Parts: sequence; C-alpha cells; structure tokens
Amino acid sequence: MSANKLEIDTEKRQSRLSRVSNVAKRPQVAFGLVIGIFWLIVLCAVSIWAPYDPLEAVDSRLLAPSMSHLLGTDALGRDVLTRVLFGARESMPIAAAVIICATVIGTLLGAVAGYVGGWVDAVVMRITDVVMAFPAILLAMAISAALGPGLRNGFIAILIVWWPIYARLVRGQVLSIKQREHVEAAISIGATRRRILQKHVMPMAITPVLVNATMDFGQVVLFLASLSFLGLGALPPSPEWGSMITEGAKNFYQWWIAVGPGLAILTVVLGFNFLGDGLRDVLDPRSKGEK
Amino acid sequence: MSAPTSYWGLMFRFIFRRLVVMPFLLFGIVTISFAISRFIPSDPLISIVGERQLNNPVVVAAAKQRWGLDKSMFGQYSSYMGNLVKGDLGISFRTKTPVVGDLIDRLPATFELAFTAMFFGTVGGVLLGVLAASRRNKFADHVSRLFALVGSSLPVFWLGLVVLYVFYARLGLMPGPGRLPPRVDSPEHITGFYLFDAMLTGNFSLVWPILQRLLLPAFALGWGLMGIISRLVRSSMLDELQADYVRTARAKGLTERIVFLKHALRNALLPVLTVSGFSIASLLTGAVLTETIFSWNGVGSYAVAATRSLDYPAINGVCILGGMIFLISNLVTDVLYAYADPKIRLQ
Amino acid sequence: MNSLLSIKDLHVSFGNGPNSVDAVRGINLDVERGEIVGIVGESGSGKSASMLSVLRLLPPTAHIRGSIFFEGQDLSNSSSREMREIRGGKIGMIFQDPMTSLNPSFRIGAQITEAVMQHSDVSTKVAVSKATGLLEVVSIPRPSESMSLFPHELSGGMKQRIMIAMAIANDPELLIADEPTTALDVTIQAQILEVLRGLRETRKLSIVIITHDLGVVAGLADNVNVMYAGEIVESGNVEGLFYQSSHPYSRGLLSCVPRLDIRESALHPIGGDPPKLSERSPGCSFQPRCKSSTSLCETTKPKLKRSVLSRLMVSCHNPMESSETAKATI
Repeated sequence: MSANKLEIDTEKRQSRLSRVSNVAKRPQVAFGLVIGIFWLIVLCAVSIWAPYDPLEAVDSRLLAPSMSHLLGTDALGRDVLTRVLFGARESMPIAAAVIICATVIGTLLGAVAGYVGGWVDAVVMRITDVVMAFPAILLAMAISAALGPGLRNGFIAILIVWWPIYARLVRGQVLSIKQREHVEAAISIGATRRRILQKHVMPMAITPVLVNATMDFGQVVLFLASLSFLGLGALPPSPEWGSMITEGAKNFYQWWIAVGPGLAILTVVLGFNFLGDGLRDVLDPRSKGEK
Repeated sequence: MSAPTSYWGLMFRFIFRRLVVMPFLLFGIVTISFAISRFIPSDPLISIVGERQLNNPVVVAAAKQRWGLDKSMFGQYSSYMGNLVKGDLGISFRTKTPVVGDLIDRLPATFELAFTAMFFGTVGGVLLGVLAASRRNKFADHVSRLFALVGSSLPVFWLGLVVLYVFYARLGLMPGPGRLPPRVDSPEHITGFYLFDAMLTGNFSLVWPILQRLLLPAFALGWGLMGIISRLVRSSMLDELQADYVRTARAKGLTERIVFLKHALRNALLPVLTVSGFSIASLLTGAVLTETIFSWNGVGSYAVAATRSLDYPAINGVCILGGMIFLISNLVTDVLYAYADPKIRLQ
Repeated sequence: MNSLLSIKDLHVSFGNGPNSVDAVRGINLDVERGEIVGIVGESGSGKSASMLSVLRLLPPTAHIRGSIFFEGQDLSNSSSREMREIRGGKIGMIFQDPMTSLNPSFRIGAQITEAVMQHSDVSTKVAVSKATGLLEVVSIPRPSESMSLFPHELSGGMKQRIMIAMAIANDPELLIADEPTTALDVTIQAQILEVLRGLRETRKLSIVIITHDLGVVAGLADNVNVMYAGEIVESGNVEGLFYQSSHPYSRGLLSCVPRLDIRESALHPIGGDPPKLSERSPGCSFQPRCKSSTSLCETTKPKLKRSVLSRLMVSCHNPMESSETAKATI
C-alpha cells in the first residue's frame, strides 16, 4: 500500500443539484456566471439603458474620460462606453451562431465518421486535416477577403475554420465510446446502428462538446474581433470591438478608445472559459480539475 | 529487406511515413488557396491597372493577358499548378514583384519575432510553472496563475498596443515600433535575422538596439504561450510529485530541491516540448496581428496588406506558406518528442 | 536500547477532526541486528504506514506520535537534515511497485550512482564503479552494460533488484521492504527473496519485510508481527506463529490459504470486512468477525500478553488453544 493511497477519499456521490451549487461557489466559476449574466443583460437591455447613441456624434472629438463620458469620446465624437456596450450586439450573436453551426455540422460529421468508419471516416478526416493544416487566421483572412468584408462573410469564414475542431472531437469521443462494453451489449441484442448512436454513444460524447462550445464562445468573439481589427469582418461605423481597437491604434495617444473594447473581450474570454470549466465539473466530475 | 530495428532505422521510417502524407496535404492546401483567391468578387484589375486606366481597353487587354486573367478558370488552375511546381507563386498585384521573392525577404523578420516569442513564452512559462508548483496554493501560486490566465485570454493585438503605449509612449522605457532605430541601416544580410547578422558582421553597436526593439513585440506575442506553458508545467509538476519514483528519490536521502528540480521536473517537461512546438500556429497568427502595430515588415504585415488590397497571388502565397510552415513544424515537433521520451525512443 | 530499531507506542493518523483516520494505533516493534522481521496484514492494517513513518515518508497530512529509536536515537525528534542522512544512508527502503518506483527518464546506472554520491564524498568514477559492483551483488547480468539501460528496458524482477541495489548502496544497517514481491510473479518472487536472504548473510543486514503473503514471511522472516486495524495482534517467532498461533485472526489468515496437499471442498475465508479506520471502538477491533468473541471483547480492548503455550505475544481475551486444528501452511 503506497503512502499516497493511504489518504482516504472522502468524495461521496452527490446529487446533481448539490454538485451545481458546489461548483458555482468556486470563485472562477462565480466570476464566469457574473460575466455571462452581465453581458446577457447588456445584450438585451442596452438600447433601453444606454447613455448615448452609439452611432451619433454626441460631443467633441477625442475627449478624455470624464464623468459624463466614462470612457471618453472617439475620433468622431461618439461616446466610447456606449459603443463598447453595443459592441456586444455585434459580436456575440454572430459568435453564438458560429458555435451552434460548427457544433452541429462537426458533431454530425464526426459522429458518422467515427461510428461508421471506413471510407466515410477517411474522407472526413482528410478534409479536416487539410482545413486544419492552415493557421486559422490566414484561412479566415483569405476567405473573408475573397467574399468581401462584413459580418456575414466573417461568420462564414470563421465557421469554415471552426467546424473541423468539433468533427475531430466528436469522432474521437465516438471512437473511444464505441469500444466500451455497453455498446457491445447493445449490438449483441440487435440494436440498429442509428439507435446505438443516438441512445448509447452520443449522450456520453456530448459532454466534451458542450464544455468546449462554452469555452470556445469567448475564443470566437476574440477571433471575430481579430478579423475586424484587420479590416475584415465588421465594417465601420459598427461598434464591433475589433474595429474599435483599430480606431484606437490610429489614435494611439488617446488610450481610452482601445482600452474599453480590449477589456470587454478579456472578460468574455475569461468568463466563458471559467463557465466551461464549471460546466465540465458539473457534468463529469471525474475528469481532472484544477489542483 | 528486413524491417529495420535500429534506432535510426525506426526514426527514418517514422519521418518517411509522415513525409508521404505531406504532398497530399500540400495539394489540398494549394488547391483550396487557389479556389479562395479566385472567389474574390471585386475586380483585381483595379489594383493592377489603376482606376483611371480601366476605361482604356488596350491597357486592360494587355494586363489581362499578362496576368493570365483572360484564361478560363481551369486554364488558370493548370498554369497555377504548373508554376507552383517550378516554385513560382506569381507576381504580387500590389508590389509588382514575385510573391516568392517577397515572402523570402520577409520571412526572417517574422521568424526572428516568433522564435524570440517562443523563447520568452517557454522559458518564462517553465519558470512560472515551477514557481507555482513549489508554492502551491500560496500567494505566489495564485499570482502566477492569474498572470498566466490573463495572458492567454487577452487579444494579442490589443496587448501589443497596450505595452507599446505604456512602455514607449508613457514611460519612455522602450523604443517605438520598428525593427531598427530610425535612419539606421540594417546589418549586412547573411541570415536575415538582424540579431545574428549584427553579431556575425561584428556590428556590435547595433545588437542592443535591435534586441530592444524585439522585446516588446516578442513579449506581447509570447505572453499567451507563457500562460499556457506555465499552467501545463504547474499541473505536470504536481502530477509527477505524486509519482512513486519521487518517493524513492526521497528514500535515497536526496534534498527536496533535487527531488523537485532534477527528478520531477525532467519528466514534467516532456509535454512542454509538444505544446511549444505546436504553438507555431498561434505564433504565426499573433504575428499577423501584431506586425502592423509594431511596424514589423514580416510575412504578417504582408498578409494584412495583401488582404486589404485584394492581392490574390500574395494571399494565395501566404496561405500556402502558412500551411507549409505548420506542417513542417508539426513534423519536427513530433520527431523531437519521440527523441526526448526514452520510452518512445527505444520502441 | 540494544535493539537496532525500537518503536514504542507509535500512532499514525491522517487528517483532522471527525474524518481523521487512525492508521496505526499504538504499536511496539523491535528489530535486532541481523534479524529479519516480518509484518503481515491485510491492506489497511497499517503495516506500510508504520514503516513509512520511520523514514518520515508519509504525506504532510500525517500525524505521528510515539518514539522511534534507531541505534539509540529517537528519530521522531530528528531534524530534516538528519533524516535525509539516515534515508538511503543507515536505513534503506524498497517499495511495492518497481514499475513506477524508478525514474523513467534516467538510466539505472545514474540512479544508483546518485544514491552512492548522496552519502559519500567520492568522485563520480568511484561511485560508478561502486554502482556496477552493486549490480553484481544483486545478480544483474552484464553489470557494466546494464548501467546504461533505462528502467523500461528491464523486467519487473530486475527493476526490483535495482531498487535493492540502490537501497543498500551505502551499506545500511536496516532495510525496510514494503511488499517488495506483491507486484511480481511467484518465480521472480523467489529470486528477490533469495537476494534478500543473501544480503542478510553477507552484510548482516537487518530487514523488515512487510507483506500480506504468508509464504513470503515463512520463507524469510525470523520473527513475525501480525497487524490488524492498526494494531499488532500477535507477534513472535515465525515457527511459533505458524504452528502455535492463538489469535483468531492469525488462525483465520493461516486457514485462508488453500492447501495443495489436503483435499478440501470449501475455502475458509474470514467473514466480514476490516473496520473503517476512521472509527474507533472501545473493544477489540476484530470482535465483529471473531467466532470466539464474548461480551468482554466488545467492551474492553485486549492487551498484548505473552501466551503461556506458544511463547508468542498475543492480544486477545480468548486466545485459541493449540489443540484445536491448527492448520499450519508453508
């Protein structure tokens, strides 16, 4: 009996509800929840509560932060804080759409490829290999350049870049679950392939997909901002965070223009990262958490 | 020929198998790049000929012929592939010079930046991770974990702006954007890496200014990697410290420090190698985003300019280059890992 | 103290408060020079914890109480530096799973050399040749070539012998072997035990061997301690234990082992489960599973007393008579 095994394991099986509340109490997860709720409120209510109009010049240009303009004004005299808040409306719905579509497409392809195997698997894998052989930003840049700037084309570009990740993830999960005994048992009693996939394999494969999707939400927002920063994706005068940072770069000494959107992106990336962690601990407490 | 059982024989087979797959991937990459660049809806002629000349049919026809735009799509594809095999990536619409030449000119700048960032990120990450593991759950641990987390969550281009603003504009500690001080010539070209070129040509007065100008962008680029590596090292170290061989080491009477830094760390570092190697992709991404901020004329800013002016030979060229770099660096990383892990090495 | 190792009233517990676990509950143990002492018990009996506390190799959540005298010095009062000198110096230890007990990234020669150089001020060259010599002592074939091997290139038995070589590298007085053969095949087991026996002969090495396997004890030990739920329930001469044990648990253990020479229709397990180490009862810990228990056993803890019949120390209110079928198994 090794010394390490002498420590007694006191974790008991907890009900799901108590697990959720335990996980939610952790500071990082709590932070993630606060962020998530905050941006959700902003998304819904900003047009009601915003101090100013995000697209209209409301004051002199390039004013430093003050009581009336907490983040100052930009090069066209618009209130920066308002634009930051409205920026959520630009990036978050698109990011959500990308994640949902990428997950759906990726899961379908990955599940079929993993379960059926054979040439279907080979074809899907080769396609993902080729797409993933590009550094994502270059591919997305090329696609958006080809299609033209604008959020809709940005959406398409990011979707094309993102779906292979989920296809690979789900395929891997399906492959390992396929080997497990309860699947063998189902096969031995004559269940159809489709039924096995649906009822036995997918419920277990879904967890990492959900966790990943949550964490990826922030990453997609960041990616979209990066594209906008480069002049693709969102177009002026839309208050997308990336293009606001470009403006901030042009007015380098007026630091307040770029600070807001950067911090906004940071909170979204961090917050959803933590939420994903928390989700993982709720759904699958056996996987290794932070020490 | 019997199956090779020597170490180098096995290694060669491993590399060979990977190399065999590469042409297929390269084929896919170049075809997709071609397809993308031909989807550009707006007329590339504008950037070639200039708006004023568009009305002149003679000029337009000549340009079309010169740039191969008069052929069918299939015709363009076949001449594209034919040229590719010869190593010709076409001529940039923007710079009017061969894309291959443009890329070769700019590659060293990006590599110098990326490698410095990788160095920062890896070394800094390991140090930070070891610190966090040794002071587990104490203040230093929490601070370093926060530092790591924030670093890997910030948009890298924003970070570049922030550090430039803070350390250059405000504090005046660091020089401004650019690889060289203003009105100073680059050192004689040997490698294209200014740092090495300066040292190799004995131009030692340039070494420090060049290094200084590398610091900020490399830091901005490398912080993300530092974050990932420090968390990896921390968790890897904590895992290794639970291992039986650590107990054996203690039973031999070794000091905690030796157990920590010699026995546990050696095994904890293995995953760092792969993560570091596979970080090339994100470093390239970062380069694309930060080079413009720091006036760094590498492949990244070239790509940005190409995208903005719809210069599709250049866009195409950058995509292919990016794909190739990615593939090669992954292969090299796999090989290095197989070499470093004794268990794999001797299979 | 004349004994090499003398443990007095050792208590080891893990954790704090109501969830704390008492792994070792007051044991006394002596090891003389040149003696091989066995500690036998099930998993969770506290046998490993007691010996790990001698070298202070327990996790930081452990609380140790009691005295551990080694060569007259109380180790429980020693500083970390003094303990480091003892570990691998005067007391060597080998562990259960040789697969994971060696560092996979270093060659075995380097690992043994490291052990040598930690405790003696010699040059690397001398240490290397000493290490090669040690490989010969533990019967590793082609010692000088084997020095450059990595652990995963060796079989389990060889790895365990390397562990032994490392543990005896600095000529310790005492070797603690924590289930050294549990993870190995029976044939390899015999080899390892042979090595240990040889070391006692040639170096006058005292050995404490921890195991759950009675066969190992029978083949190797001079004296045996049987542990149950953190306490020693019977101890003494090995022959005495096998032929004349009187504690119901020891008897149970002995009769558990299936016999090759007598045809039996059923196995004789000991019914019930060992107690949870987070619980403490006022009476005998074995009482819930004991066929000869009385009401006294539930209320009062028995103490170790010398049995008149067997000359063993037994901790029982109703020790079994040796006239009852004592199934001695070797």
